[in-house]
Amino acid sequence: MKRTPATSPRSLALLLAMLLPGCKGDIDPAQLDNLRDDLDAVVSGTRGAPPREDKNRDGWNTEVFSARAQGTLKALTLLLESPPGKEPEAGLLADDFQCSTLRPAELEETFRDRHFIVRRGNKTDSPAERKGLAGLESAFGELLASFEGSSDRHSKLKLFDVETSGKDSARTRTYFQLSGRFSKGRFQVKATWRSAWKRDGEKWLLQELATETYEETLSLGGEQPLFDDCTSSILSASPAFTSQLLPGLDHWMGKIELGMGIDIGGWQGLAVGDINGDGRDDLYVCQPGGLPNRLFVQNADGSVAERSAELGVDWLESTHGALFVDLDNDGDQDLLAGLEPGVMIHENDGKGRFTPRTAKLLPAALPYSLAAADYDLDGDIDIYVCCYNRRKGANRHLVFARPVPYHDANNGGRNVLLRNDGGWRFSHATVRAGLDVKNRRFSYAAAWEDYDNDGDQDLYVANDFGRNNLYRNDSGRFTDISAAAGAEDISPGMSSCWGDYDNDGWMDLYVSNMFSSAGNRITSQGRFHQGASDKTRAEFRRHARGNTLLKNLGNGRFNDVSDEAGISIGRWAWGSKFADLNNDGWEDLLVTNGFITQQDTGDL
Amino acid sequence: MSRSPVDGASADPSQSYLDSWGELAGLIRKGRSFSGKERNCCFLNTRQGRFADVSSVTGLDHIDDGRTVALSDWDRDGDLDLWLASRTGPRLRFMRNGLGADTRSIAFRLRGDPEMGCSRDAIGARVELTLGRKETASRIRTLYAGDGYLSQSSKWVHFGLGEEDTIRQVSVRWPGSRKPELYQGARAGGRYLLSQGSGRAAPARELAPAAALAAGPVKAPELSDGARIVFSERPAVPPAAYTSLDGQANTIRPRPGRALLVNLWATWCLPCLKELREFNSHAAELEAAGLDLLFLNVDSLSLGAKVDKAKVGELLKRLGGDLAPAASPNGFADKALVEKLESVQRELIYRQRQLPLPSSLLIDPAGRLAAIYKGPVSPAQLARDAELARNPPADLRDASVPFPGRWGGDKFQSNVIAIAGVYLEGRYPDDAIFQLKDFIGKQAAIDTSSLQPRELLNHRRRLGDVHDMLGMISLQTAKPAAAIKHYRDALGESPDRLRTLIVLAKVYSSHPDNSVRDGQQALDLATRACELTSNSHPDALDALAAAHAENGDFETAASEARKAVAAARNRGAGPVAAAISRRLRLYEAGKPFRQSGGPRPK
Repeated sequence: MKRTPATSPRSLALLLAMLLPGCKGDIDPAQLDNLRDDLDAVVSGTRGAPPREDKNRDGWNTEVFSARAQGTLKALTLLLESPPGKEPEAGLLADDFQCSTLRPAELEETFRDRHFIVRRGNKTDSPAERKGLAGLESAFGELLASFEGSSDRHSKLKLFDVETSGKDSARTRTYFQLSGRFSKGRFQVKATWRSAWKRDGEKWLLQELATETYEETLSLGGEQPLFDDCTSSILSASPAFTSQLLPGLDHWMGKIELGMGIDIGGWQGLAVGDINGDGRDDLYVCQPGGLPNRLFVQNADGSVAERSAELGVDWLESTHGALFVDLDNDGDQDLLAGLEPGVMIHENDGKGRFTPRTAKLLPAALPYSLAAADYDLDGDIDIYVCCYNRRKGANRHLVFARPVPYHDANNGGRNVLLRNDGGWRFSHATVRAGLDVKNRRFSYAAAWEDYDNDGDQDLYVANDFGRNNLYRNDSGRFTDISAAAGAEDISPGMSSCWGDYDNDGWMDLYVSNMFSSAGNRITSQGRFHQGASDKTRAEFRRHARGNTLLKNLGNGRFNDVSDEAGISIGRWAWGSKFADLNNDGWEDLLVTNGFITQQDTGDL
Repeated sequence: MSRSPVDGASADPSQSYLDSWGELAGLIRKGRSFSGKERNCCFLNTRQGRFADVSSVTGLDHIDDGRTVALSDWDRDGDLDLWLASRTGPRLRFMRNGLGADTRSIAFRLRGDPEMGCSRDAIGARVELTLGRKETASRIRTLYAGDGYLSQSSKWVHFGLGEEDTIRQVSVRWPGSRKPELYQGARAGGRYLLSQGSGRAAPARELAPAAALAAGPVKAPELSDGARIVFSERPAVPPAAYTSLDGQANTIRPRPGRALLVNLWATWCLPCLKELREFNSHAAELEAAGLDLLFLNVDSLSLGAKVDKAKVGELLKRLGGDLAPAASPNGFADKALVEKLESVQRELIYRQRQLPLPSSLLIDPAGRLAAIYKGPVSPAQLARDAELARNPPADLRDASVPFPGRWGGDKFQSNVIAIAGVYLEGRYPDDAIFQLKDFIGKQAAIDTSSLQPRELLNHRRRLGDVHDMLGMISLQTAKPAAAIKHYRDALGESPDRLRTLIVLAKVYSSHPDNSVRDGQQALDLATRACELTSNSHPDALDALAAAHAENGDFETAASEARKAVAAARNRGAGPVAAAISRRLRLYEAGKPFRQSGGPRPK
């Protein structure tokens, strides 16, 4: 049996990136044509083929420019990682180059506790203060002065905004990050730079560099960061870890046949729960097809024993998500595991041994995130299952995502609400509960919360390739109110979590999406898909912006406060979670990210 | 319905759009990165609606392809530790929060009371904490089961307290209860159980500290291209020609009852020569395991025409002289042959890597690929696998996974009827139709002349069931003409399908639409149904009665209906008897029976 290669790439930037040449060399005009064709095709999936522009597509040459500009900035900032005295190569700066300070003189300490100090500053002096190479060196010197003696410095740049005027000049905005350690602790700098460029023949020279925003954070724990990696001490005695989970997925992609349902994406989750009632959390680890799911039971000293086989949950089918929930109200944690054909529902015997009670086949294959709540307030827990793709035929083929239209798709798998009817019976309640509305939007994850504080559980569903759903619960009947509530967040949604980040008594919402600098650059261009409506163009642009924080206003509406909050750039984000990591009573945020890192060089 | 087989075409995106996904997938499959080497992020809430980037200074900026994060105060020291899952190795990390005793917190486990309308797990319960001596501040947390990406965090509800040490009030709003319940007795730094209705925070059991935890490096092993891959779906190895050492044309083919190992080697490849020597020193075991070995030299791939054929033969003889001669003589593999062998594995393995040297293919006696070895394989492993190739277990999957485990797929009903039934249960008739028609399409490709009589019977019965189900869905969605066609197709597969005969007879006799009814057809079908059941099946008799009534013969209709009622009673089917009795009264009054029309909601 043949199996379709199982990637589920999911972004506009993906299309862009696959056709863009990266940071080296010139763009092949043929590639640009391809790119245009593809973008047209993307949009033509929506509402007919838009009018084509003429063949002279010079607008896309900004990507050639961007690659060069990014390269120049990178070459300059590498000096920050080098020992003092190193000279930049010639031909990067314009003769009349000038720059502002890169660390504003007036910094405001905006946060301090026992562990962290945060300082911010926006005002900088005039760029005219520092001229030429000496000026740049002096700016770099100021930036590093307060981190004197620091080591292990790393910098990162992302050019995300390009504005050209005429053929010979351009302005850009760049995210800049610098991190390192020094004797008192660790530091990191996050800044936005504005730059001006001018053309000199084939080259683009940096003419001006100015700080737009600046934030520096110091941790005070000495060399030791707040979090230690204790993985080895807990897991290294377990062969299930050392031989199965320690190697990356790419290891197994070369050793297990595709027919087993192993996929490249690594879309496998975790469930924490106390399976034996000893007061200690245990951990269930989902695995791709061909590798058994693992159950790590905590010992008294915090280490674990792997007991999936003995306790009956070492399923070999592809499993994305799992949940521990007391489904029969008998005081122990039963287990839901989203296997390839559907949800396997196990009963816990009270000692942590699991017996399958119901194998619930789903209309769409491959359940992703599961989220449980008592939506009908009848005293037992019901289950919402995200089904990203539709089942294709009665076979086990993985389905390649084919979102149409790309930026607002509704041709994925149908998500399912399973109502707990007692006695290990679960019925499909999706339609009768009103949840089959806009229900095929390639959903990865869902999260329940009573956002309107009316006593029942509402549901937010994060959808790839488009709008998310906020379903308001009114006595067990749901209404999709995402548009009216301002919570659609049209972007490639991966996950969401609730938390009252401003401690005002109303639960706010964080949604992980994808930040793509290439997507930002291209979709911000005037020429990007001129045939489409302003609305469509804005929606495409929105797709690449990144993560979203929606503040609950308490009146049924949400405000997008992402930019002010400074939490957009979570890169290619998957997981998201509010967590008060420093125990100060205010919810912090965690984001896990990165799509596919392989050994070959050349990121697409 | 947004998607149906009819409007499906309109959902087809343009080909170039699809091709771009395919092209991208191909590049990733060849080993390219895509948005890789991104560092996980952590944002510190600095209040006034702002967050600071603390990814690096917290030590959480792993460059892993991060997927999931779950929270738990694993070591019970009053701060939130993290479990992280990633695509890259290590696929699992535990990050200990080092706050420890440095700060204050409080944590609760919740126990709902189903008698009071709340599940025992109390998912969705909202805990509110009021803090402070003078200035009061509130904090809320909800107990979730599943949020973030594929993640479930601990059921301990955790509150950081900052500099506060005074808990003024703890309240819980339990799902299903209107008023929050207040709890007494909770103090900063404690861990408590809050039971619904108790009003008292009960201290949780004291547990020993998690002494085993220590910081230390964790590193995934380097990726190697070496692999032993055993296939559960053994593909046929296409006819592959090669030239023997003495220049004769030959074909790769196992001998009856014996497995065949095709080994690709080169004279310049030291691991190949070492492996050959190894095989040679275990020649007797390999022979006893029922394995033939065929060595194909690939020197020409790198040396072209300059291959010293005599040297190849001499080397083979010197290093592998004790190995029994295989059915086919050893020889040379050219580029075309190597590519052919590569293409077999390419369909089966995701990671597209060229076969290294040495590589071996294990072919079972039926000429199918049982395993591939990239890099050297030990004779002992080979002997075991030869046995596996010759005598495969009932479930080949078990031999094809690197670790033992259990299969759950069989516990799910997965035949097409069951899947279509799930769609119908979820009220997605269009999806059910799609599945059923897709199945019929696939069955059409089967060459029925090659089937054994029993297989043919099953094949036709299954197809009949699928047509039957399509007929039923069509009826429910008010498409009687389509229903008749599907029922006719079902009867085409096997003319004596009782249920189909009865249902179709009733459509012809009793459908509310005049243009659908056909008394003669109804009579023929119902008569056949009664013949098949020796006039004893209540539904068949009921159908026959309805057919007579449709033809205006109410006397016979009433007489058959009485037989039907009696037959139903005989079987103890009271409700069926009652329903037929109602129809009987219609016939006695000279009226035909009409089904209610339109879609019937489930």
